[in-house]
Amino acid sequence: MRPWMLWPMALLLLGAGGTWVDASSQDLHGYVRALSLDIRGVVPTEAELETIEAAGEVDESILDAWLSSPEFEATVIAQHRDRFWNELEVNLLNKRRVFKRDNIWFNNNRSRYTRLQPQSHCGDFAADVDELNRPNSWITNEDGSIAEGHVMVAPYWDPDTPIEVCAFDAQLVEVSAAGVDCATEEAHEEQDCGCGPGLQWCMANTVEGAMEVAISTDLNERVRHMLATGAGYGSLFDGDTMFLNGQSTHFFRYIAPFETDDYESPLPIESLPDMDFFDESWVEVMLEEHHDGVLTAPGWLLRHQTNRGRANRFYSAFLCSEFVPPETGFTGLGSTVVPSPNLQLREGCLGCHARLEPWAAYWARWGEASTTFRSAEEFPAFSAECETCASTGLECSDFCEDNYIVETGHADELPYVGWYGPYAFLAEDKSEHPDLGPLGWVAKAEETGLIGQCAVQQAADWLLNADANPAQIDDWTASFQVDDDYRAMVKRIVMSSPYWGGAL
Amino acid sequence: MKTNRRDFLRIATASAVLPSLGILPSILHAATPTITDRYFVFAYFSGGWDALLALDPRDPDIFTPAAVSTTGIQPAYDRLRGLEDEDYLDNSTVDGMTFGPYIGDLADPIIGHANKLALIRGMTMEAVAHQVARRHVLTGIRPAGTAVRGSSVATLLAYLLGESEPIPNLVAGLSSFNIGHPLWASGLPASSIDDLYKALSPSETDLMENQRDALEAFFAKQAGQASTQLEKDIYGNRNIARALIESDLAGYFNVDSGDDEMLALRERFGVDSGTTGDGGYMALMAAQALTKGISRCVTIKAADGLDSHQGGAWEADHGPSMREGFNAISALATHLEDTPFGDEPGDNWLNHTTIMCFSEFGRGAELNANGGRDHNLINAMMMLGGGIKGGQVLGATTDLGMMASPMDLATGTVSPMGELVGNNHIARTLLHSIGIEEDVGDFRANPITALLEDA
Amino acid sequence: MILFLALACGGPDPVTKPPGHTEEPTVLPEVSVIGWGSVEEPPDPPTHTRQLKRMTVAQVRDSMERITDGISWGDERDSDWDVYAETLGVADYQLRVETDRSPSVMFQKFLDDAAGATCAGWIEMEDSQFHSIDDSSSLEKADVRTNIAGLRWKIQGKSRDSVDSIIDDYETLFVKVHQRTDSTDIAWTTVCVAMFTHPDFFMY
Repeated sequence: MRPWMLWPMALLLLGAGGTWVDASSQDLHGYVRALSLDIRGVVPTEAELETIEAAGEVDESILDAWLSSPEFEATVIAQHRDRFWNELEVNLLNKRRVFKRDNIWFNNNRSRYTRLQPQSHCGDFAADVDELNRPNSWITNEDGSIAEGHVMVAPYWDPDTPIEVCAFDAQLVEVSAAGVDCATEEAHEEQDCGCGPGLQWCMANTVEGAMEVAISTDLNERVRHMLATGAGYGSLFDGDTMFLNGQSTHFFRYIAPFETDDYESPLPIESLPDMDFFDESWVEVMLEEHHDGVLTAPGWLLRHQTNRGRANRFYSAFLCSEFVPPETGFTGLGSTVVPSPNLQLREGCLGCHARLEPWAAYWARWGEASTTFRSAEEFPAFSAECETCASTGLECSDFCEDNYIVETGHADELPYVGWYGPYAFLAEDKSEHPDLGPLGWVAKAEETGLIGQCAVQQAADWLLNADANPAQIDDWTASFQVDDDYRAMVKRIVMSSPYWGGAL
Repeated sequence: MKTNRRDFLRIATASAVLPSLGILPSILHAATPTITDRYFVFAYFSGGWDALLALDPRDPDIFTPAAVSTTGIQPAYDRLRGLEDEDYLDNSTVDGMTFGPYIGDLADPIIGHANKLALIRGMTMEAVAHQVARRHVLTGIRPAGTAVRGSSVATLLAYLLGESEPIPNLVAGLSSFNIGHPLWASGLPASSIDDLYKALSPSETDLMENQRDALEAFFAKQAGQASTQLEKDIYGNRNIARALIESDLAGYFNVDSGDDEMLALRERFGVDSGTTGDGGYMALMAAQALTKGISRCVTIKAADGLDSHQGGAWEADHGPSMREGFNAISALATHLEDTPFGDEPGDNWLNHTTIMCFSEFGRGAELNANGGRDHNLINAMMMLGGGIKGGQVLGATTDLGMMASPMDLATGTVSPMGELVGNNHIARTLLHSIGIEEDVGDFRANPITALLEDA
Repeated sequence: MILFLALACGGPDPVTKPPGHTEEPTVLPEVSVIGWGSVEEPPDPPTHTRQLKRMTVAQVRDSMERITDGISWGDERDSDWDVYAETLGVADYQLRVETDRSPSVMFQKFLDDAAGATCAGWIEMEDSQFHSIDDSSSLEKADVRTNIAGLRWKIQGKSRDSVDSIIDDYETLFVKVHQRTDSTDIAWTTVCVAMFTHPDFFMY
């Protein structure tokens, strides 16, 4: 392969370096070191350095090898974490948490249903239970609570270390005496439903943390997949697969069903891979059609919990744009009337929200603080039933109360009575946003090349640590928009004059 | 080589250079505080706190669920886990100063400090995105996007007052910014008291004295040859790092030392009882940094996890997390009050320390569709301690939608002729409190003189 | 009557479209498709070549381990670089969404700690590649300078043929420490620490 660059031997002999400020004074050694650190996150090996020294140049094949390495994938993932902010610190599901008190584990949240008093404990004695850990007897306390004692359980998160668990929470019953499936949220109030085999329907704090990491890491794996398969950069948004490991699979299979308003498995539960909780491998699974790549990944939806937050993050991270308040500050915040709930009209808010509200509507069919998808079939844009009950004063169903606009506190809400909540204040020309989903916005941005331009700008900022010439950015963007190849885009930058500092 | 405080300054500032560009640093350099025995604690409650739960409550008997559509305010105290009716409002010992259910020890009639608190209600923020809003409150200047346009207020104050302290500006748990001020005024970050202890301690595999002396002589020569600002900054920071280790400060932050003083501090700050959460350790760190003469400004994260959009999180976690933070601040105030200051009999550290409790924005007056609360531009803030006129409530939110009310900055009362108060006003007020009357920080806002004892 | 009925039966089309606003909004800024950001375009900046930047914590950690054939800082379970990550300004994507890459006080303090532990371990390691000379106890000027050049090459990636004046400074350092301790191992460890904590290592 023909070398793409030759360095004058004089530079090597003189050890050109001197006062180091920028790449204009670097030599081959400086360039190689920068290249390796930027692309792979580590300095070159001695063998690599000797090879390059002997050749007096960086052969393009070496660069290609580095760009094909798993270390480069890790580097690009790190760059994208700066976009995704994919780190969860939410309480996934308080009501399925088990805590330790006096070294005995129990579900504090269910005590009012199991032990008949909130926060009550089972007591420190061996329980008298049947083969399903159902207590045969208990002690009745003065306050009316009952204490049933504990049993030993090998939890799924540490099967080699059995723990003491309050018997009611250790129950293995699959269907309660009242006919409730103990693996569903309706079981929460059933005294004879527990945490199931190995406590699989419950979580300890550390387990919850591991699940959160797994949900977040799915986004990283999508980036890795994009590079590894040579898929275009756009696959981050229109890709139809995600990645699960043992921890995330366990969450979606066993824990998520206890709060279906907030969580749903990204694919049917029966299609989830059969993985042990400790399995750290990543399994690629097909998603249903309504998903839009990283923008509807559980890790994205839970990290950016409101639709406005999701839209704002996409705007900043992938369109390289920010909302900036006006120089004169916000006006109208001292209003003496109840402000309009329509932020597109509210003084002080409309400057940003006139754009943000319709953009947030791209996520309208995704639950806020949730991973649930609300299809148009289940949640039609307009419900005549809900509009009728709201208008006639009849009692509205829970479905209407929870999801549709049936009560108004301001005149601006009146035209939207009967409409699905996220449609509130949505102008007619933006009414397709909910059904287009976030990919609708992506498509619009791609018409003007904004996503590609932003990706190039971010890569240039990372690699050059300086303002690149706008004409250079345009050149790189034009090429990126043709091949949609992130690796090739990085290669162009590191082979460019501004990066290696010499004259072309 | 041991370093006393005077030597420390010489070493640390040897490579620190005042910038030659920009108006701001020049003006600041010329500003001379008239009050120099003032210290500052910035206590951050992370995530956007719900003022209805502590600083700006509403009577649930008036603001009932049925009234939400007309008032736009929904306290929803009855949804909060573990609370009884009588817990909803905390009337404190100060007339007219009522708190919500989670003010914690701060309003306790015996151990609390209500008579020293100044509550500022009805503040207006200019962002409801966490990063931007946080940077605005830390710097007092609206960022450009997420890019700050000024130094943290703590950095300014450290620059003006903290030249004698080994760590003029200690920052725990959040970012700090320095634009155009000397290196030594930059926030020294420590995510925890343990990390600070390690940072101030020589490593277990530290070089022997002979090696260390020779190594430092080597670097002194390199520093002398530095020709770019970047090189000077690098060697300057290196010098500061060495000087800190040699100043023997680590012991003050060894929470596991087992010595009597530390055991007493652990108890006072509730770190073992769990009543103060991680905020207790932070408050302990602040107390040591101030009272041992180590820092002039300390920024700590008093509470975390307040971004409760989800109903479950708001109902179960938001209030208790805030309360832990307020308990930590109360413990700090008590400790400072119990610690003598200087030679004047009866004088104490609280008289000389301004404590500011803040969050980047507030939360909605109505619950969202998930039963939680979303971000809101309207906010509240609290100050106590040195220079602050306590036992008062400044400003107010309206009873319709909890909107901001303009405030007369001289009296703190609501007035149509007043101004809507924001971060810029607070920043300006803090500088004003040490006698700097000119707007050297370029905050473009007037000080809230009603906040100050000696305005 | 018919008109009244028509009005009474009117209302939003129940199929797809939500109602538009009944009034024109007071102000709605123009939204241009290009340039959705609300930050003004800055003037064209001058062309710059790549500016130096500090290694990230991960780069320092991985590079030190590669250079020293696997010597890590910390215990077997946790690298101390990860233990102190938050204090070192590594993004947690919650409170901190940008990584601090300044050559800060904390960074240099912990880098010094890591260098001390790493260099001590590296020089003592069996089959260590620390030295570039056969006799590591040699005090011959040529050997010392060759070893310095070799260490600069391994640690900082500098050419072994370099004639930078800093080589004189490293030589002075070595000689001084040897004079005080009478140990070439201690002297070389000190040189190693100097190289890892010099910006020639962590800036690139």
